[in-house]
Amino acid sequence: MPSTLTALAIALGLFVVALGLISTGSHRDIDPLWVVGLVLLVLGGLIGPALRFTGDGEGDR
Amino acid sequence: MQDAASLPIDLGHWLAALVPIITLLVLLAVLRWKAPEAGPVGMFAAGAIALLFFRTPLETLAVGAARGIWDALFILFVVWPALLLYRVTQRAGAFDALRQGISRFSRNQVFIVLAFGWVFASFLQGIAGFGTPIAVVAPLLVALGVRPVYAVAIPLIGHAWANMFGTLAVGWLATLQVVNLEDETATAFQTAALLWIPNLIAAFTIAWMIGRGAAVKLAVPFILVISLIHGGGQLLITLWNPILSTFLPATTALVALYPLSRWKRYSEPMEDGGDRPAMADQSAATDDEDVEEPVMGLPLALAPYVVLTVASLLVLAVPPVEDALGGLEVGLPFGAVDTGYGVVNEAEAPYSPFSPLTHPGAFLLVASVASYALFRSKGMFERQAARQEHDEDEDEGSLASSVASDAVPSSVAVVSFLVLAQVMSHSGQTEVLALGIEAVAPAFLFAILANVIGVVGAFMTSSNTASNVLFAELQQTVAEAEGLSESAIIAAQSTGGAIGNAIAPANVVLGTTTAGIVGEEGTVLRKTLPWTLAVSALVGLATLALV
Repeated sequence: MPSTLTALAIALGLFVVALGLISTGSHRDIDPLWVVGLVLLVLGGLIGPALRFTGDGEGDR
Repeated sequence: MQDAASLPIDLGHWLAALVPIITLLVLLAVLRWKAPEAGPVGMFAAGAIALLFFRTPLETLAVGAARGIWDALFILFVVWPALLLYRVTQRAGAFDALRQGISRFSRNQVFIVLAFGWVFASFLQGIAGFGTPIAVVAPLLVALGVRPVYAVAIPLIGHAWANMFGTLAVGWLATLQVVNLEDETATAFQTAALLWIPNLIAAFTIAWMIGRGAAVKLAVPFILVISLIHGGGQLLITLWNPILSTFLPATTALVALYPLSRWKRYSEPMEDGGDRPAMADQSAATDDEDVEEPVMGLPLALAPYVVLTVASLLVLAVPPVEDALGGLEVGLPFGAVDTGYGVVNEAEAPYSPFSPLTHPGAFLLVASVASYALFRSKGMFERQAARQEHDEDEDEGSLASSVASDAVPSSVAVVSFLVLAQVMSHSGQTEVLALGIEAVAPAFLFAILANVIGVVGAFMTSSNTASNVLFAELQQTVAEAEGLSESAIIAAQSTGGAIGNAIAPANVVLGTTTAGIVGEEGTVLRKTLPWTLAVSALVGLATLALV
């Protein structure tokens, strides 16, 4: 279903952005960057389980 | 590189470290959650345990998680091209052609399923890793009449033995990087000896899945011949060159299929009747007189896999080519982080650099693009679409969207699994699990359980290589402390890392995605987990004999 796919695509996008922010922030000691990255990672991680409980998890296809 | 100065090795912390793994298994196999739903929960469990019980600062969590995302990209670079290859071949009608073409060589289900699910899967593992055998073979088996759940379970089991020395022994080479072995040849030889166990048991298990006792009885000569080539060949070649010890036997076994297919025992269909749990009603052995001729012949249908094989061999087996293409590397830097228990992860710049042009995903992409161009030039998409009354223009646009709809959910799952693994590693949970077993187990029991540590590592990371990188040094240390044979214990670790791939969630997700049964990961695990546990027990007893 398009809404499920869109939500998971957003999750994936958040993971990728988090990767860049955490890498840069930890390497260059810029704390706000890795903190934001961690927040985005958590937000992305919440999407999958949330889909189950919103009843929109009928299909990943 | 990790250094654990003062990890708490007690029952409470050991049980806490087990929570993320148990959470994932329960959600997938018992409650049957879909992988993109269960994976993140496991990931959060690992993070919570790290924060609450393992004195892990948030920055360490963040860096561990980000390294996990980076590790996942290695696998995703197989997932997306593999799905593209699957969709291209499906839309061109190649699977129909494969099914009917192969049935002209053999109409025997035992032969066909073993040939693809065991022999071809092992060959693919010999030349490409990161789940490629599962991604490629699962949809082939579905096309050949295997029920989708079994189409995923069979190559998971069938390819496992080939992980350690597959992909031109990348797992073995990584092991040599992390431990200095007293006797490399003895270790390689004993590893090959232990790996023969999952090789043989996998084949009999697959035969059992196909048609229970009747199929096993029919398959015995086939299995013994191929296993002798696989296992015996690997055993001998490790004495000469471990790097080729999977590739050469797996290739030889593939060639041996042709004379075996000429044997009437394996060219004629199985007798009717009997329980065939793995086979759908539309079997590969049914009479195809009334079935429409496919749009292409067998040679054209096999073209994508020939291109895949040639591309892989050209790069991996020709050092100047590999050196030239391997020069391009991509990686991200990470700062040093530690925990309150003294687990230190050093800064790395770059961390685990990725060589995109020599990665199996590149070979899959080349095979996909070449196949698309070939099928397009011969009008295969139009012919197949006309049969299925689809609009050609819609096909052009929806190829990308169908790949995305397949790949996105499994990508979320794979990322969450690898984040779980790295968070557990960065916080020391992984090490506590291994050290806990070592602390309570007497020497003989540790010898039996050594491969279980390898299984756990592969389960978490979906990689024999990563499992060995995580645990080989620990296993070596324990072997020395307990007075056990270093070669035997490292061999057990490596074998556990191989068989653990049969239950690795990322591999399972790869298979369910290309087989079209996303959400059935738990059902697949119910087929492969018992096999893994049984083989692990046998490998444990064999290790006891070696130490």
